[in-house]
Amino acid sequence: MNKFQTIILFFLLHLASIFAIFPERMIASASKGHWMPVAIIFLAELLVLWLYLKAMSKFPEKTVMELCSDSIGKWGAGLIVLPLLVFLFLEVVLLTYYLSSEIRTVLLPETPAYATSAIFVAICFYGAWTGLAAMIRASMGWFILFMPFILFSLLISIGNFNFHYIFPVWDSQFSFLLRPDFYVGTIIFAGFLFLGMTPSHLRIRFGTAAALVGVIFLIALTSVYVPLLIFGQETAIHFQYPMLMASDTVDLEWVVFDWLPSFYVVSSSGLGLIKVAVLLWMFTSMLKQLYLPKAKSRWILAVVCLFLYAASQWIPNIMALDKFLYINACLCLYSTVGFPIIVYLSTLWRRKEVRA
Amino acid sequence: MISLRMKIVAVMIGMMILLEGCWDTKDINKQYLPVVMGIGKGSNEKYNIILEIPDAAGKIQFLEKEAKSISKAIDLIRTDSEKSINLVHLRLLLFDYKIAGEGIRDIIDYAVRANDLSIKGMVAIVDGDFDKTMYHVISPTPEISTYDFFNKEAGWTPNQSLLRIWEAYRSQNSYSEDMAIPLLQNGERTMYKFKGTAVMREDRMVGRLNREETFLYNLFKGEYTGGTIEIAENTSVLIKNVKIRHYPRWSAKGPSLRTDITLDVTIAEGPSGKSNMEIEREVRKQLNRNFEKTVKKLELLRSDVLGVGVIYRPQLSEEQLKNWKSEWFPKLEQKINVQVNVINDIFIKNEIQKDKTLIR
Repeated sequence: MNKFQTIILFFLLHLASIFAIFPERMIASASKGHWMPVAIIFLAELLVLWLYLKAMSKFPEKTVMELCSDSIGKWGAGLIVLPLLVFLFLEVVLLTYYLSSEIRTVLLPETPAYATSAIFVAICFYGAWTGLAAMIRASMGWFILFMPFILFSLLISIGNFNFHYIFPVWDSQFSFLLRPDFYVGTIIFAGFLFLGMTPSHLRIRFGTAAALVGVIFLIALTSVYVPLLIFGQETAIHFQYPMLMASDTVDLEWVVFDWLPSFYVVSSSGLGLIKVAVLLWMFTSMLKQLYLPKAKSRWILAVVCLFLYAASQWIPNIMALDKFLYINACLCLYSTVGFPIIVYLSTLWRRKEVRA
Repeated sequence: MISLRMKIVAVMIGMMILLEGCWDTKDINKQYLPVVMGIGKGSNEKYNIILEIPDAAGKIQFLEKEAKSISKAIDLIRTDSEKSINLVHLRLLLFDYKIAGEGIRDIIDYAVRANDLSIKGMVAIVDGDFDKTMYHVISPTPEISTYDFFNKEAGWTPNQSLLRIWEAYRSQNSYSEDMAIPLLQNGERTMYKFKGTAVMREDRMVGRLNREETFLYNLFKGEYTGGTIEIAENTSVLIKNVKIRHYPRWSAKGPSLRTDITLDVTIAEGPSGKSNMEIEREVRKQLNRNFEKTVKKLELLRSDVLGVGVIYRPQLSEEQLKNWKSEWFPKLEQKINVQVNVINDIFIKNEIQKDKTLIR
């Protein structure tokens, strides 16, 4: 039963990116054949996930941190994990900023930024405070609460589809590989890193994870193609929140559905909350294990949250957010592709050592 | 056990969350909620903005200002009005005829950009006296009659075209289609009278379709529910179902599109003595003739309101797609074939078997 909850959390963390940043970046990264970048991202994820879980399964009682520091020493581990830490912090800051500005744009135009992000950070602080095990349990409730909203806002606009807008479907030059927006899309990977830090009885096998990635791939594809099928590529690239605009095209007479984007924002920010909380928890526990073993983790968390709040206030506008997202993409590639490979190699090396 | 302190913290967080939504909020009875915005040419400034605001008593209030930009005009209206103005319920943008001739790109951009304006609102052009149409009131005014005029669940028929803000935005950015905007005028007993459809090229009005041509336009797009075709005196058929198939071809000369439209109709009125076959043939002939005329007209206007480019999308490369409107659409050869099939969902048998017993 517990494993099931881990699966759900894995699923929700990926959905969080699908409901923020990911579709918009995928649409921006290609002018045709948008399924190609999405498919490549998910194939890469499968590969990395396989390495990561393989490495973890050899030492089921240890977390990634312990694995690293055992095989390459404490200092080496500290060096390897440092970019990962920077990535996690940047990611959390950017996501906080992104979501609180989305809430302001759509739901609360009068509320100042410091108020919306204060609430956001406070809730995430509480989530991270309770720890990963508690969040894994909470994910079940989150799933039941938000899944109807998610499906609803994904599929409500189906009546406005024009399937001719799928075309052209093939990009023979793979031009998206040269666009930075494609690499920003890799933040969706951040959803699997937590698997290395769960207690051993909550670990999931690769087969399960791969099936999940398959399901998530389908949802990601839907999220990219819904705006494309409604607006066409030429128009969809103009939108800051393409999925949100897609749900605004639906005209239902019923008063509850008068302002459909609110459904999108509710699901987007709900998923964002749990993602930020999990990443925050990862950040503080890594920080504690590797750099500050004597400090109390809750104090670290409090200080981190203060920094997070300050940093999210400091970002001046969406343009700056874009710039940081590009910087973060490099770190993201390291921490979600490079880091699992390093972990895998280090376990191989360690095994040889043990045998010899 | 949850300690008292934790409970207090939980309550405080709960209150914080709830209060967030009340930031600078304005009571609903302190707000005007306009449903129609008229955008005309100002006498001194670029725009003349008129807002139609229905109130609970069933009356309509009008607010008007001129400015160089729309949001400034709304700001000026707000300055003089007693209440705040909130555009969330705005459902219809009405352009002056002259504005439409000069291009509406900036206005559509504004409507999509504005956070409080829903992009599912509709767009129409006033054909005739702008002020007279805007200030036209019928009594008693149902609160949202302006909106119901276009609503597919209420007063819409296939004789009317319909364009939403997001569709307009899509068309003006699109490589492969143009938009068609309904033309309105104030009615006598009704709020509006439908005058036809404005044919746009990019964001500019270049021509017009009359009511019958608008019907064909809708038929081509597959919007036919409840459509009636009149052939001769006392003869008309009701469309029950339409099947549309496109056969896009691409030869050395350029694109050529054949469209087969099969109509399932019932005979609503037919003079005695005329067989179903005859009516069928007449409907087919008439529709084919009218379609040919309409397509030719659109070709001359060089406006792809039928969205042929979208139909061709599967066959076009990205380069060709970008040049569709300038290079390929003028070369398009379009042929529409109408087939008619009479399905008798009515209470009278086919006339032909009956002997004539009437004595005149």
